[in-house]
Amino acid sequence: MLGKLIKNGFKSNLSATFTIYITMLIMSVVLGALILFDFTSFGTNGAVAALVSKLVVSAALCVTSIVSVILTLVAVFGDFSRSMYGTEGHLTMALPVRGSALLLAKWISGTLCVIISYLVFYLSLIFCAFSVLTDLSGYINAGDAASYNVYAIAWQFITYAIEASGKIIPDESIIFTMVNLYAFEGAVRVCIFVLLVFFSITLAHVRPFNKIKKLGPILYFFASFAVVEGISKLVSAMVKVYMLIDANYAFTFTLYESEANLAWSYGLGAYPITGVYCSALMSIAVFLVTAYLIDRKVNVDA
Amino acid sequence: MDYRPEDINPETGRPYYAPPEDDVVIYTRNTFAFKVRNLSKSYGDNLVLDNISFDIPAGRIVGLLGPNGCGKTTLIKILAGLINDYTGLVKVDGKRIGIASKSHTAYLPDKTFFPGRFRTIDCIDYFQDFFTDFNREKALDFMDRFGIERNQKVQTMSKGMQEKLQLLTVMAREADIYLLDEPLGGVDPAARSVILDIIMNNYKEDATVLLSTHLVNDLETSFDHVLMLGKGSVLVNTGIDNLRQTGKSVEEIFKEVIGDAWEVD
Repeated sequence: MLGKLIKNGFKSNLSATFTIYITMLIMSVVLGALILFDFTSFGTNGAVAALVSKLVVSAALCVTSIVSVILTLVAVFGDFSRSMYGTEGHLTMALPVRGSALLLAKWISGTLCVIISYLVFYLSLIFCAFSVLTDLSGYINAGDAASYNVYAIAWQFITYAIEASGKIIPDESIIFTMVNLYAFEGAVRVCIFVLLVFFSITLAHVRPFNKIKKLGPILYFFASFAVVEGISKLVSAMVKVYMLIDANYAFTFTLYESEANLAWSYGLGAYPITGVYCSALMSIAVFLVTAYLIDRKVNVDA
Repeated sequence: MDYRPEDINPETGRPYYAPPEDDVVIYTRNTFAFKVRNLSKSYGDNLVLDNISFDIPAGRIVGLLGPNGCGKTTLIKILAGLINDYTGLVKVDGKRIGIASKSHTAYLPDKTFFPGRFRTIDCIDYFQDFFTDFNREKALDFMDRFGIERNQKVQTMSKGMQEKLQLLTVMAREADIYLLDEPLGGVDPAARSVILDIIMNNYKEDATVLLSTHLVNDLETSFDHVLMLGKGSVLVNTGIDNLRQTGKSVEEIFKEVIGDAWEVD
């Protein structure tokens, strides 16, 4: 039953963003063609026209990717509100499933859709940055393979950022692990964000919290977000746990901040784990409370 | 036998669903389609259902009658599991409101509930996905009878067609309980008889149909049982045979019982 609910959640969310993803795909193909094709054979005018076209398409792709993220968020949260507590709630809430199953399905499908939109956004930005960088670095001629080395460009950005913060550049494998850990943390934070919005929308349909009409979900979101972040910051300040990473992908844990700082100066990685995982643990509590509200307190009043 | 504390009526000290002590009838779990005890529900200061209690025997076609705002839709929503913040005990087919009761209950609201992006065939697939008692062939047959195209999007259909689509999906279920909230409310008189025919000829044998309506005159010959609500209370809860013994029609009794409230309607 959960699988069917997730399938329906995906269908609902993707139906709202399908068109914009197709538009972005077409833009990406056009931009790719502009990068690959050698316009210098058309003379200076051709090269300038290609350059202007690249900039215009890049800018359009950037704007569209931002719009796609906003649209995804609107689609995910709008779908949750409409399908649970709007007129579609007459169908959804009458299904023979627990509130926790409904919530979990919406949470999984919603979070994945938001993560996909973020990935598309970042990929679009990287693609656009790459397009501009190839021009700035003079690689207008498409024949130069070096201009397509996105990995090298990204690596340069990361090493510049680490050097700028005054730290020793660690081994490549450590940076790779740290990037993955921060990417995972980002995904966890998206999960928490989506759940807190679902909780806020649900709370806004429970008496007496339903007295604040349209602003209710926004107020409850900021309040619950402040509580979750406040507690996680407090716990992080009290209990500092760092994961130390060496070049052989070996992990050790330490409770000392000084040791973590020292790790960086020895070219090792140190990743603070308390804050985000404390928030993740609290999100389990938020999930259980939301599921309880759906089962016992919420009315479909639409 | 041990009873849970919430099942005990504080006034009598006995379980809500236990028969009166002098009653010789032995009740089985599913003798009653609906068992409601001390049910209250308010919206803010507006008390819609005021401590009502009633039993409805299983296997009947029940007319749920009452003026606007008397709590018909609220009662149906509670029975369907859409309203949760009420007080009192409610059992549907012997089960408390939850997964078990919902899996045996087919609910038709007075609102259009299919997402606009759905094609009609998606609606059929959705019901088939979630309700094991859904009869797909029956639903497709209904669609043909109503002239509903299988790939038409819900958002392109008229409200009347959407209501027909909902009705056919709900009636294609072979449920034990049907909760139908104003199924004839938004349709033209010509379609009424078709819809009524679909309802009366397609519910599962031995199932209970609870049907709320304002069209007492059109439906009174179809009812086996009548439940009249008014001013937050149960005014009449009896079999149609008992009513007929008075020599009056259901509509006449309805007007008598509801009184001034009927004028409001």
